Amino acid sequence: MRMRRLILFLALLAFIPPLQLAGQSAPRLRGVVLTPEKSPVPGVNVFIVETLEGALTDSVGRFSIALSGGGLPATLLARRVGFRQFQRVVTATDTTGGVAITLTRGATSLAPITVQAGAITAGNERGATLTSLEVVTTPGTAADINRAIQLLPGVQPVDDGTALFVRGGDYTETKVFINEAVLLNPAQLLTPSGTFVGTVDPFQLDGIFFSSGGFGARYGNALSGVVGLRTRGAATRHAATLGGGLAAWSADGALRASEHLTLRVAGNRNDLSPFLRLNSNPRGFAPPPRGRDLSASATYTYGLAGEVKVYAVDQTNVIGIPIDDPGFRATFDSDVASNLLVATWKDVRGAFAPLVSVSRSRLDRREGFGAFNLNAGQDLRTLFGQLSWERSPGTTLRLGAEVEHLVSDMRGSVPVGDDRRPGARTTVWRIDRPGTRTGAFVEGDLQPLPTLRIVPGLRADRSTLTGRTTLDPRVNAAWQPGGALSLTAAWGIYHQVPDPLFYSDSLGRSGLPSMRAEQRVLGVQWGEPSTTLIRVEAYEKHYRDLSLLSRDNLVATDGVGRSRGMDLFFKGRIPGLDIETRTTLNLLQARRTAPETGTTTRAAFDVPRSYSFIAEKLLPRGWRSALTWRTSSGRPYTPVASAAFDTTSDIWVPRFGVPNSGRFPDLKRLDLSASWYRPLRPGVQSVLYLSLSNVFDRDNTQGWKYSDDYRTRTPVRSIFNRSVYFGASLIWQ
Amino acid sequence: MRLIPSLALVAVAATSLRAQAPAGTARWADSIHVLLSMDQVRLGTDVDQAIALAERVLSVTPNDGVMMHYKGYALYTKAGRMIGSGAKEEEIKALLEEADDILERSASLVKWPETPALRSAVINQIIGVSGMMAGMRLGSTADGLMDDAVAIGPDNPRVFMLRGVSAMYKPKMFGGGMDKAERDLKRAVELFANDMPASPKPRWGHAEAWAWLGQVYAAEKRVPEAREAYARALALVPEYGWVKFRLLPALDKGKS
Repeated sequence: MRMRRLILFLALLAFIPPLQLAGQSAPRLRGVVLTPEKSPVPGVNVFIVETLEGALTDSVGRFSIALSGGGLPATLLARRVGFRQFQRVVTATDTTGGVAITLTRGATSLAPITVQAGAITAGNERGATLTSLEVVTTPGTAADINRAIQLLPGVQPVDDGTALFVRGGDYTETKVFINEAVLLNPAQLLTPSGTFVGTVDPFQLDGIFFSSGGFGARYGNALSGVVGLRTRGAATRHAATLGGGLAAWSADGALRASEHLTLRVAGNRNDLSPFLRLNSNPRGFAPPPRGRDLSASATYTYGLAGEVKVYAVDQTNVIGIPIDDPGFRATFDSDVASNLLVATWKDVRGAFAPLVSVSRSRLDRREGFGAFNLNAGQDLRTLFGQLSWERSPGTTLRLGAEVEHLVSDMRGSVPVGDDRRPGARTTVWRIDRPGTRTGAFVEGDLQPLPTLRIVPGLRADRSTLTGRTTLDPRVNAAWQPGGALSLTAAWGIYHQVPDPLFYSDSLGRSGLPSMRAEQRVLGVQWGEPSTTLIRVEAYEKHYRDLSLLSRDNLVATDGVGRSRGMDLFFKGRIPGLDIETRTTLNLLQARRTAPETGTTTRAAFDVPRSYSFIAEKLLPRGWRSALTWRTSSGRPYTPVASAAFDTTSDIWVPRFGVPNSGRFPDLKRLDLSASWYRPLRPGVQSVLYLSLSNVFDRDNTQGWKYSDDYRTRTPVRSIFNRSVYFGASLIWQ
Repeated sequence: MRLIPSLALVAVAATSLRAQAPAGTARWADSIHVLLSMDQVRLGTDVDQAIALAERVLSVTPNDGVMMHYKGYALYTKAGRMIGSGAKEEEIKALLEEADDILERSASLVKWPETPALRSAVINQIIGVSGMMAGMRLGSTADGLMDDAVAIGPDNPRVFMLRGVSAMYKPKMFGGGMDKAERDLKRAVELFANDMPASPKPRWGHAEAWAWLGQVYAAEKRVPEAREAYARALALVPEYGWVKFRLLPALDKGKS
């Protein structure tokens, strides 16, 4: 064998010399590539731009190029991932003296910096912090996008609801976009948790962008946070899923009508009755939460990046929540119907990338509790357009504009004082004025150095409700000094138009200005999302011109606030155990004007500490297990100091203490889940899943139930008692 | 005797690099093809040279779909080599993801059946190094791309070769299995008999198809058939390093 190799080697030598001799007739350019510390850099692609003759450097950084294709002078280029590109003109002199190239470390110009202060992405694209699957399969989130986002850094777990309280901001200050169109946000009235539960079936999404602050000028009318949801687009083949669980049935299908056209349809029907019965839920919902949604989309793709997508969803939800108020026990009834139609077009034409989104959405809500009554219809039409221009590598300019036209037709009555019984004295109000907000922005996305990205921007908005124009300068920067380390910073001014309800003459007043926040974010990140990632961010926010709704449902103006804190996010694998983990720690101090007293005090959503730990392990034979452990400080509440009997209305009237001076006990919860993935036959798979929520059945107090005279109180436990849930899915693909 | 053709190949390859007879993209595609052919023999750094050459061309003509295809193929080849050599999972994955990106861009510019087939193979390799969750996430994409490839090129030998290779590593429940691999690879070698694409269309794969078919036989302990398949591969590329130094010795030792 050795002999044969020797023969091969000798024979190769016999062939190669003539080739080398042939090469010797042309001049050769030799040289070496070193780091500034004089270490050799192997594997560098060194070549002449004009002829593409080149070579890779060897283990000691040397290269040798035969210059047979053209004369000198010529342009020499040296590039390797992880180093800054080198370029210089070489002349005949260099063929005798050799060329010494120094490559400095740093992000290559081929690798744009994607790290951004405050931003987390989830999707199947590379560089995303989390995959879509990781988000929707998080134990304890019931595959609800909002509940999953609540476990990301910067979101405070304030109550049982699905609302997103971001870094000391109210939930109404976080805007949700779907395919670039803004979603209607329910009005802030007697629903402290807020909701847009199930607006989008999480399994119909393929990308989630969440920013807890410092977001760029593209996003307007949001004080605290932004959620961007992207629905699934083109399919690579036909697919269908049928799912059934203890409280929901679902079906979806994707039809690849042609190479360019994909049609999708999905339907869900949920009814929590069997789930609540099986788990002996003590809350006595009447009716239990139930609803349905139907969505459909058509995606047409063309060329390199062209896509036209139309997405529509129609949804209804009803719920009846028993409320045990002193002197009055009844059910808070809510009946919500919504729909959305959004069409988007995006493309890349050379250096230009246009994006247009047009949408129409409607939200109808009927709510009632005793004397309180709300009938609200909102119709929102939006048009958004953006043009990106990549002027040169590392220099992109974005220009955009948007129009939102909101027609609100709201009618209702709110009790005056503490008597909420039917027939009690109420304020009757109605608002049917339309509001139009127009906005425009310009944003640069600059990479002046391979290691530095700066995104300065400016947006202007004008609303017919406020009658004023606001200007929001913003800047976001990321610096990667070396290795996997990134330092980030962001600063910006943010404005948001108050809820249209607040412009009612009976609850608030016309001409309320836009609410304003100034945000500062400073962060450090180390690692790669696909392996180990640590991110720590500190932030500070100052609010002014806040419009706030009081306990008596009256609008207080000129509110101020401040929140500061830090959040930590760690994602990594436990060595040796192959367990993927995610850890989030949020520290917060939030203060706001109390609308009842006008004093600045703890914000109602001031949760100073929250922690979550998620672990996931893949087991043999298609099993997967996961757990979520979360703990947090309880949220503040306003205690009742005393009560006096009102003989006129025949009820006890409470006298409240310092706003938000009380605090509910700490919350703790452990959720477990397991699933079994099993292919049944080629193209058909099944998934069985089982989850156990609130394993230790902790009360996790969410409120107080007072006696008629307010002398005694008992805790109102979380709606999530220890609960088991199970289901199965069949997948054809 | 086998030495002479392989050395001739090396010589032709080197000459071809200098001669650069065809114009434009075809010329560079030929050069990369030759480098990768040399890589089959030497199992050395020619694949790196091929990637580097593709990168050079793309630095001048960044929207050259043909060159993107060749770069993707070279990256796929290198990743396959690294998988066999026990390289770090992250490095292999990065290479495969780069291949996937460039092949996706290529597919939007050049309608060759080999491109979606290669993408499918690349994604299957990503699944292989990433685990079951990646399979759940990407499996249908890989299958869909292969369906596209077969639809565009129902008689393309490289498509059937790549589908056969995927079937070897895919569990039966997911549509794979040795029987399917054998069927596809046999079809591939049949189709290769009349496969004469003009430059710059892909021309790779003939010897590989026999090598893979040999592995299917070896896995099923059909040693004489495996040996015959390897011989057919060596008849096409006499100094085919992978077959000569790895597959045949493994067969001799009784390993598949």
